[in-house]
Order: sequence, then structure tokens, then C-alpha cells
Amino acid sequence: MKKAYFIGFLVISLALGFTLWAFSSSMSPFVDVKTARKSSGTVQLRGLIVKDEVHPAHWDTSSSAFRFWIMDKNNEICEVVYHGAKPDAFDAAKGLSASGSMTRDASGKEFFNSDSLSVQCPSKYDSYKVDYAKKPSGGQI
Amino acid sequence: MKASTGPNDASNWMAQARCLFLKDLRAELRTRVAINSVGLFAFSSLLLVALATRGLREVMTLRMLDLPIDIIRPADVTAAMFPAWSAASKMGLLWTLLCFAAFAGLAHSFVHEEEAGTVTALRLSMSPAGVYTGKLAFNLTLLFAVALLVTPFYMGLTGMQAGNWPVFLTLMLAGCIGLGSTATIVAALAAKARGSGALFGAIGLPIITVFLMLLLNAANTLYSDSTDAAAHTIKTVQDVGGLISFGILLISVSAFTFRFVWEE
Repeated sequence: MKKAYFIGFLVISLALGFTLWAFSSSMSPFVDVKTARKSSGTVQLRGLIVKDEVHPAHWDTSSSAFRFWIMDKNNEICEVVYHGAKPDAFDAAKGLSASGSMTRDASGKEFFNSDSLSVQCPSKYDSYKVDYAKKPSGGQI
Repeated sequence: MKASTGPNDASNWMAQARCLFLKDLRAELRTRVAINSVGLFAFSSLLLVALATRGLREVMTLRMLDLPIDIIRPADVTAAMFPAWSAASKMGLLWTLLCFAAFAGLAHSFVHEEEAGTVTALRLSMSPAGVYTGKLAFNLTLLFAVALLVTPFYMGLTGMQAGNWPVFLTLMLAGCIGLGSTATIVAALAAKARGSGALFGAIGLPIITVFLMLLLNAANTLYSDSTDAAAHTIKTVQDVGGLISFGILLISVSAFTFRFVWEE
């Protein structure tokens, strides 16, 4: 009986390990630039869209891709090459998450190659947000 | 002295499983309840799918990014076109159909024993391992038969391609094992709760979700046109192997835990 339990436990462990390995391929975790660099599979790079003159968002006709820059939570900036049309809400959006992987072009320049974008919609309630940690400065009713 | 031949004798459970399988098969061929419910559901939904997707099958989409930047010739446009309804999504719909068909009919295996009041007799005369193996074998046989009948019709109606035949057949086989093993243990649980059909679906949903995700991953890999052959082979092993291992995992866990479901 003990032998049967041992074999059963072994089969369950192996099958569980293989299933989890297979299941992990359908998951793409949210990461920062540093982690995306280390990852080999598909990940989701999340950050704020950089909108300055040094890092302009533009359509690159040579690679038929939309190029822009994002800054992660560690303030690290990375170029994203998105193989698709510019999303409608892109100009109004503050942040986004791009699904893809980190790659290098022929010249060795690093970029995040993406085939899917999730643009964070700007909230119309943002201007009414109250900083509860801060005490009201005064005023009369 | 002769060795023990009681219901819980480990050497006896294969014979018990065979007996139960033949009993279920004979009873099913007599009443045809499961065959009718699974078959009716499968073929009516197949007809609905065929009618609903008649227009969709002819729709072609243009992949803009595949078009050359300079001069566009008609041949370039044709090369950039692909069917709007992809083979992977056709496979997804086939399995949605098979899942519902299985859930409509496979719950019957244990519920029937509860309704007929034969559970106690079965519990006294057979070991849990024998009952589980017999019921699993019956459900798998029924599911294989349905898949074997429905899939060619579905492929003909929707124009779904098989792609790589050995991988396609392995995927279908692994899918049937995964679905059959899920349906068997969930049917046993639902029968204990006095056989509610709604409960069968509710308990099965979390397991079925994982199963369907693994199956759609495997379908996407089967129909993906990857240029890197080595990477594609690894991905195929990972996804189709994952589906097989899910079936093995579920059968192994069910075999160990069925005793508690059956004897409680």
C-alpha cells in the first residue's frame, strides 16, 4: 500500500509540475524595465508615457510600428515599439501597459517589442481627488 | 488458503471496474439517456453554429502591417489577407460545444445510481477504486464517441483545418481525457448533493476554466505559423504536454480522493 501511495504521490507531483509549467505560458506578469530585461517570455511592462521633445511618440514607417517611451516605477526609461496603430486614447492617457518582450535591433539598441497595449484611461474625477493625509488649510462654510 | 476477494481487495478492482463499465454500457444501450442527451445537445448546437457562422466563414480581414509601404499591387493585398475567423477560435468553439455536451450527459453516470437507489448495493459489492475506474472508463468512451462523431461534422461545416495531424489528434485525445476526468469527479460530487444539474456546472466551472485555458493555449500553438522550428517544438511539447498532464493530474488526485466522496 505504501508503494502505491509513493507512486501516486510521484505521478501527482510530476503532473502538477508539468501542468503549472504549461499554465505559466498563458500568464504574463506586470514587470518593470529591469525585470523585463531578465525575462525570456512575454511580460507586461507598465509605466507612465514620456511626453517630452527628447522622447517623441511617432509612427516609424521603416518598421511599420508606433514608437514611444515609457518610464517605470524606478524612473527607468525604455523605448516601446508597438506593432499596431496608435490607440485612440494615447494622447490623453498618462500611463499604459505594453505586452511583449525586451529585444535588441541590429545596432544593439535595446527596445521593448510589443504587440498589445492597454492604455490607462484618464479619469474625469482626477481633479477632485482629495489628499486626506493633508490637513485642510482653512476656509469657512 | 484462498486470498481475500472482498470488495476492497486491491487485486480485484480491475475486474470490478470492467463489470461496472459493461453494466453501464448495457444499461445505456437499453435506455440511451446519456447518448440522447449528449447527442441531441451536440448536434443541435452544431446546427446553430453552422447557421450562425455562415456569413462569418467567408469574411476576410486585411492585416495592414503586412502591406508593403511603397507601391501596393493586388497580389500584395491578397497576401496580407487572412480569414477573420481563425482556426484557433474555431477549435475553441468546438471545445465549448463538447464541454456543454459532456456536462449535459456525463452527470448522469452517478446521478442515475442515486436515483435508482443502487448506490448502497454498489458500495457494498465494489471498492471505490473499481467504481471510479468503471465510471471514468464509461464517461471517456461516451466522450470519445461524441468527439469522433461531432469533430468531422464540425470541421466540414466550419472549414476548420487539422494543421499538424499527429499534434491535432493528440490534442483531441488529451482534451477528451481532461474533460472526461473532470466530468467524472464533478458528477460524483454533484450526485452526493442529490444530483442537481445546476450544481454540476457550478462545481465544474473552476476546473473547466483551467482545462479550457490549457486547451486554447495548445490550439493556438497548433495553428501558429512560427518560423523558429525548435522554439515551436518546445512550445508544442509544453502546451500539449500540459493538457495531457492536466488529465493525468486530475485522474490521479480523483483516484486518491474518490474514496472520501464515495464513502461519506
